[in-house]
Amino acid sequence: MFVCCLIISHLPLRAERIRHRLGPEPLAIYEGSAWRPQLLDADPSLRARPGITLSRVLAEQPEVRLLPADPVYYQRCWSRILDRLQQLFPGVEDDGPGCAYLDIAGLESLYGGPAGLERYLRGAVADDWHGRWGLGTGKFNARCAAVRSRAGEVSRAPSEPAALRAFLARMPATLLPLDDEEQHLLADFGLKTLGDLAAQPRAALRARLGEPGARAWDLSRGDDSEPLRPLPPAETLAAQLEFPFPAVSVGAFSVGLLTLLQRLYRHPRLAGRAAGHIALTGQISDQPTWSFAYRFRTPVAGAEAAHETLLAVLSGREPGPLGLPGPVRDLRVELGQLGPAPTIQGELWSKSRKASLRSAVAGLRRRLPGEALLRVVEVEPWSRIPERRQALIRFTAP
Amino acid sequence: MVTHPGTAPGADPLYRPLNLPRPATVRTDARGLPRAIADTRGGGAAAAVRALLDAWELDDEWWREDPIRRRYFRLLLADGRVLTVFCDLVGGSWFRQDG
Repeated sequence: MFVCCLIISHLPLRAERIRHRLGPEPLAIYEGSAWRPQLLDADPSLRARPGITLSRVLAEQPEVRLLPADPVYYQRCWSRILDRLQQLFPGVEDDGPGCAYLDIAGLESLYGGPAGLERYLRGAVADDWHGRWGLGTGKFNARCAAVRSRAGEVSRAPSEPAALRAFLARMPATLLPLDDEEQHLLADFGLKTLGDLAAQPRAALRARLGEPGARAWDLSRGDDSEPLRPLPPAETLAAQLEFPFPAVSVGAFSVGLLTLLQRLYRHPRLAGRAAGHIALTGQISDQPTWSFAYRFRTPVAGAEAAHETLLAVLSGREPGPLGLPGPVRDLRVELGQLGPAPTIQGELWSKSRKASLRSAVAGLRRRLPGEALLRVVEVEPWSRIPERRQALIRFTAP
Repeated sequence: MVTHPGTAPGADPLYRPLNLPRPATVRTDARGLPRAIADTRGGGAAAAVRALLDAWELDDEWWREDPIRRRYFRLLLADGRVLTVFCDLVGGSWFRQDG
């Protein structure tokens, strides 16, 4: 089994740098309560370990730029990376934010050899994420190769057994899938590298650490037979919209939501089907990312119906209008649990006017290039800022 | 998955705000009042301003990162057209916009 491992170190840090378009300035991200904030992630140059208090970071690095942690946003970034990988590779295993294993069987010959495969891998994730890639016969070997890669590079663990053992021997034992207590035990015995571990009798490690010890020994010698556990095929559809201006009103949010729902419900995978679940996330100015998930009572097969239901559900939420804690900069909508549309009793007498309008709209769409059929909607008709009052969105026939 | 198109803010093809400001070339006098507007219909000389019909200021969202501060003028041009322009008091540029 040939596997690829992708590692994105310091995912929160990279996500914030991309979001705020930051340069190379030293950056630290903190979490926890206001009276005792702790470090979540920081530039390696700061030599600050996660978990230490922010005051200690500032005492040593007063020039560092500080940002509050936004875990929902980091998860959203990672989900988008996984979505992309699932489009490109036959199998993707999620090993937590910042680490994924990819099934690359057959891709090397498909992309014209090792160089072609490496190009394909590097193109899978934007350079800004500084992804490190490793190839190996098994997940652990691939992970060790990825750890040795530099940002944007692909490394290979040797496949020949003796060369592989020599390659692994120099790797730190902290890479092994052991818990903290087991790691401490290895450190107490002076077993710092995989080579140190491989030099011990297997039975001794099993006696001391049980089955995890035996497995660690196997891994340290390159014997990795754990299969890739791919994520189930994504039965979700997602779309995202960046608001032209931060949406402060229900009107602007509502129009953005409708636009995204219309886009999603036009997708061929939703043709004649319905969504049972919806998840919204939005970046809020000066606030952590907002999220909301809702399971429809009955699957919803149309954008307008989903929109109406969501606005009704959100209207009862606190704080602020629709439960939004502040102006929304962007909105992502994800539809899940896609399945057959519920059967609705047809009307005895067809609404011929609506049917003819739908037919006329469909005909015009076929004849006109691009998105030519639009309608004007009121966004913030009361706004003092003229460009906030109305917008054009896609016209849909009733 | 339907991926994000990666378009710039405000450029989403399915959510287009109406009446967005359009850049304008405006000649002003010493007091900063518009005196001539480049002919937006192309080809001709700048159209002189015959009269200032109205002027007002918009100062909004001063609590945000990108505050909005504009001085609007409703102008009667020498050729009889009525036009609304504003000066962006943050960036200093001029724009046309229906008020």
